Amino acid sequence: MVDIQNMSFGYRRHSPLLQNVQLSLSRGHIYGLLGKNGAGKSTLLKNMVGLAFPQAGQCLIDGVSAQRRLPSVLEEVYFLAEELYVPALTAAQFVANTAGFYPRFRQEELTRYLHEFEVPAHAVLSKFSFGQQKKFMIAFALATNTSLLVMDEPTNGLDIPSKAQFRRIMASALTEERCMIISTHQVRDLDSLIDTVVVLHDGQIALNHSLDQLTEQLTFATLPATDTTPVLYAEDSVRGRQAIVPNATGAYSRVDLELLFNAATSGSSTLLPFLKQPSYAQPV
Amino acid sequence: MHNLFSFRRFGRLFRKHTAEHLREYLMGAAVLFGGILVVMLALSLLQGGSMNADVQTIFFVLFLLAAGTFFTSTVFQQFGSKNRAIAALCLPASTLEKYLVGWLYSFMLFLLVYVPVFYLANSIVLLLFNTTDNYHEAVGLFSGEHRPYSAFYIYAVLHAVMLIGAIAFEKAHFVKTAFVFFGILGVLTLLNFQVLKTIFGSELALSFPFNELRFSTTHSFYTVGLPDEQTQWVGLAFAVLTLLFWAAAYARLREKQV
Repeated sequence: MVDIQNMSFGYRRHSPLLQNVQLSLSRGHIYGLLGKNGAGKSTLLKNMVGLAFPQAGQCLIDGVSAQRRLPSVLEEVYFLAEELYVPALTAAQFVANTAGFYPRFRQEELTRYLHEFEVPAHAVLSKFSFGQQKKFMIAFALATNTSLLVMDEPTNGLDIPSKAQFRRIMASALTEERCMIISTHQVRDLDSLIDTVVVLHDGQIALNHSLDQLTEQLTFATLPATDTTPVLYAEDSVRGRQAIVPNATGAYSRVDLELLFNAATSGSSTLLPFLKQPSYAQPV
Repeated sequence: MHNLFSFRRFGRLFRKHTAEHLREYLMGAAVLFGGILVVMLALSLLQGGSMNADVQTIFFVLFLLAAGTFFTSTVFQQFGSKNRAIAALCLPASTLEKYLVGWLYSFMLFLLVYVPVFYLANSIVLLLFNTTDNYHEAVGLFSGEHRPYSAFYIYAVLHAVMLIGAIAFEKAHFVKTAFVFFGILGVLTLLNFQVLKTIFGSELALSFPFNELRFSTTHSFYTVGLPDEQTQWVGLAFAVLTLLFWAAAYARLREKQV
């Protein structure tokens, strides 16, 4: 679906923000794009959908360069930016004037999502609170049924119940024909939602693994402070020593996204090389 | 071809643009009408009678250029701010269709609205100030004597310039474009004048590009210009320039990044 080949980009020519990025994203997956503030997540997404043009390399969507912004490609892409723009129209008017651009738009799905999000369908969008605008646009984005759905910090501005609704709705909207990418710096918002983690760090893709691969290779555990087991990465916390260790037994452990993210961006010299090795873990 | 232009998609985009901007455009037309009316009423009041065709033509041209260029500077405002530009650029329509909606509104539709608005305001003023002693007809749009329609050609050039600015700048489009336009015009005039001076000597009067030049010798004063039958080439140069600027605005939109 998305193929990024040796892509470099910078807002100034001699200070690249992204360097030689290689990334392939497939249908049927929800990707979580994680990175620190200013790591270039939004920039990567903009390059991906053709809103910014790579200085080197290319971003392809189904084999077509995204920067050409062809209508046939844009019909299959929905990009939900962090900062939204909604016109001074009612939700119904907005849908009447915009839905026609997306061939697979489904009104009944929009109605269902809006109902779940508790967003009124006939009020003026610009009069909504930011959170309601965001929920409306998330619902609209999902109802377009585009093959590629890219969301930049979609949970910013959502209250706690809405974040749970968001995760539920997103999970229900994933199909085999669809590729979803969600960028965030609030890793907990992606818990139980994504199936692949992509970490952007120092202008490059530091990590790109499915949760299945990660649980197969790693164990996330809380160790006693006195435990001297060799770890790939560890942090002290009030509960003890939060650690990532090699999964020697093949036993399942839940991926701690925050710990994984910290490990991938901390400059840990053991975790990332370990993940690049072939996995030899034996099933239990 | 389907990716370059589709009538169906263009119609949809036109309807969307209209739905999102109709209210502000109607308000703009009302403000324009009010502005023309107030200015022409005030002037008629000051001079104590209705205005003749010459003055009406001047106002027709001035209001056309001022309102038209200002309106054009706003017609691509959806590509200005970051969040609006993202929504506009990601909308599944071709760049040509997005460009043509702006072009159509700011050129064709603006002129179609401007002409009746001006003539309505002008007619009201004439109605109020015409007397048997001081009676003036409304100047004809295609009057051979006053030629108000010739302002459409000037508007086309300025429209093309303003359209580039409307896309190139993210805010304060009108002021920034006018600043750059007059800056470039000033530099070009200066360079043109210096070149002419080296050819014709230091007694050259200030001359503008695409215009005749005047200089004097000890006993004589000369005006050098194109023969009448060749002046149409100057018009053609401006037409080509206009087309180039329109094309440049389209190219700028294609290259627009957020």
